[in-house]
Amino acid sequence: MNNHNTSDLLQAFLDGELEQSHEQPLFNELASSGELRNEMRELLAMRSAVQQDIEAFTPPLAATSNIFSTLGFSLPAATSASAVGAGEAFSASSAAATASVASWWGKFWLPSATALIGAGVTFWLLNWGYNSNLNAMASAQSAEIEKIRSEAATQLTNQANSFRSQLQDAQSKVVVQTQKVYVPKIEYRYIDKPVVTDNATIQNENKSVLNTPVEESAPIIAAHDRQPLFAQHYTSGGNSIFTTQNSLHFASPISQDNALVQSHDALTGEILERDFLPQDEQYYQRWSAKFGGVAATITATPTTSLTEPSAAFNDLNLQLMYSTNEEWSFGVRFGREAFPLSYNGTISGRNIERQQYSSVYWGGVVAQFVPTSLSFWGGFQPYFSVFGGRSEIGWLGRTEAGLQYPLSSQFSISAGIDGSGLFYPFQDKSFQTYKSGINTGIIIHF
Amino acid sequence: MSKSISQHTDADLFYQMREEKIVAEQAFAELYARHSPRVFAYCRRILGDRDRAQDAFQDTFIKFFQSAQQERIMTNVPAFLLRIARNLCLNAQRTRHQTVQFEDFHASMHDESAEKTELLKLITAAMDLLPDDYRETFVLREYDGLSYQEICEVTNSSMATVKIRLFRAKQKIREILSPYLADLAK
Repeated sequence: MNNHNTSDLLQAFLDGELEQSHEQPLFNELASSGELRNEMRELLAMRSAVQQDIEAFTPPLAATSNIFSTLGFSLPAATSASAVGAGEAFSASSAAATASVASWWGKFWLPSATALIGAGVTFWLLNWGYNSNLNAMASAQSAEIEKIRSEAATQLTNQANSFRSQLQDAQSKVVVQTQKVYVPKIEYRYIDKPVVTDNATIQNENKSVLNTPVEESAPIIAAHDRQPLFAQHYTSGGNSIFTTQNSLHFASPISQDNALVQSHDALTGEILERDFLPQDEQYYQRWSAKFGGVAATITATPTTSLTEPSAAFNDLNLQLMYSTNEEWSFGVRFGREAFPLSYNGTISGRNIERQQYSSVYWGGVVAQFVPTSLSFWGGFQPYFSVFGGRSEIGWLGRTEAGLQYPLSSQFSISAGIDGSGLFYPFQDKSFQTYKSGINTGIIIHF
Repeated sequence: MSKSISQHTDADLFYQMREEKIVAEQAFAELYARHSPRVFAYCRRILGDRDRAQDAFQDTFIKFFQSAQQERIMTNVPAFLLRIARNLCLNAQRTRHQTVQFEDFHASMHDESAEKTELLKLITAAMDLLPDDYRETFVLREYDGLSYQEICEVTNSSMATVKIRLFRAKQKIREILSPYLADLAK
């Protein structure tokens, strides 16, 4: 239910125009949304102020008199002795008339003087005969206004009482619902202080909350060293619950379908319903840097009797990635790596064949996929990446598959198997070399 | 006014206005007592200017009485009255729009001597900032207490249009008065 809809329902309810079938969703929303309750108070305040608009609800006595005299009627007899309303109305009318006449008089005093005298005499003659009737009419109007105001006040009070009882009923239902649900298999971590915990630990940590009414539940995860601002109770599909503090975020995705999230403000005791995750909340880091290296070469084609060189920074690489979502990342990777080379050609009219095992610099773009749904063993996650780029001597392609494991929210380690193909020219021919190896790395998230 | 008269329905009283003068006079007086506050409230808050509102209000009841002399079926007297008032106010607004001057606008903004509460002043000032059709819907609902269906009948609008206008009018007024209402709602 979005804000516009709930405001719409609230206004219809206050106007007595809401269908009964829509009342309960509105009450539920009112029970959980402080903003909506404020809106209701504002609308009631606005309505109350309008009901006080006596000036607008009081026709001037002069107008009443004019209407009845134009129709040839006399003003009706008095039904009440009170003339307070009439006095107020007459004062307002007189003040306005006086100001108007003064302005007019200043501009056209001479013709106005004559007209004013004539009008005054006429007005006196017209009104002299039924002053008592004027007062009586005003009293009747005043009583009518009072009746309207009284009925409105009664209606508002009834609505408020009805709403209050249903609100309490809805609140109690929300609490009961929260207490009933339970399930265990959730993984989570902190953004700033990651914790990956198993099922049993979560149950243990949540035990106090699960067994305690929501209003009384203290912030959980007592070992946590932050001062919690609130505790949140999450239910998903009616069959799972876990509790977070304000610093707690998801590491593994949880289906948001049919998810109901209720947050319990530990300071005010207020139960609030909110979106499953705030839109602006990021629960994974966008950037990462990976320092990697080839730990061992498994196979290399062509085979050579040469040994792999041991130059400084050999077989090292650096990868800088940006995550477009929790599973896909894209970035650049560069490094230096030794490849066995075997090629032939012609030099000075003589055929030659050469073998080298040389380190070359390389660089290119890389795409990586981490299927977070396949996470296992408390945090191990597989990854797959594809690289395409250029080396000093030719084009380089590489695929890699492996596992990564988060040590903290900022650091992870990875290990995988890669396969590379280097395609390079010599004179007018193309040659290629293939190798596979074990790749390891340390990943920094930021 | 006799007690029996006050127990008659609006429609009965409307038809009685066609009868002999003494009966018509009593019926008219009773209908006037019942509905004049809301008709004046409509004219006052739609036109803003008190003098123009008074003229429209007077003409409304005179036309109302004249209409009763014709054969017609009456089902909803307040809606009928407000429809007459609406036509007269629209005419008055057209005249005002043709001849409006700064002084008139200024005078209408400050013609609020009888309003007692600060919030009420702010609400009426905020209403002046609303488009005419939004202000009218708001007045018909909040001042005249008409149901959505009755507002549809008076303004010849669809239910959806009425709902949208009313919603936006209230939201707009809330938006304008938000700092004040927030304090008041606490």
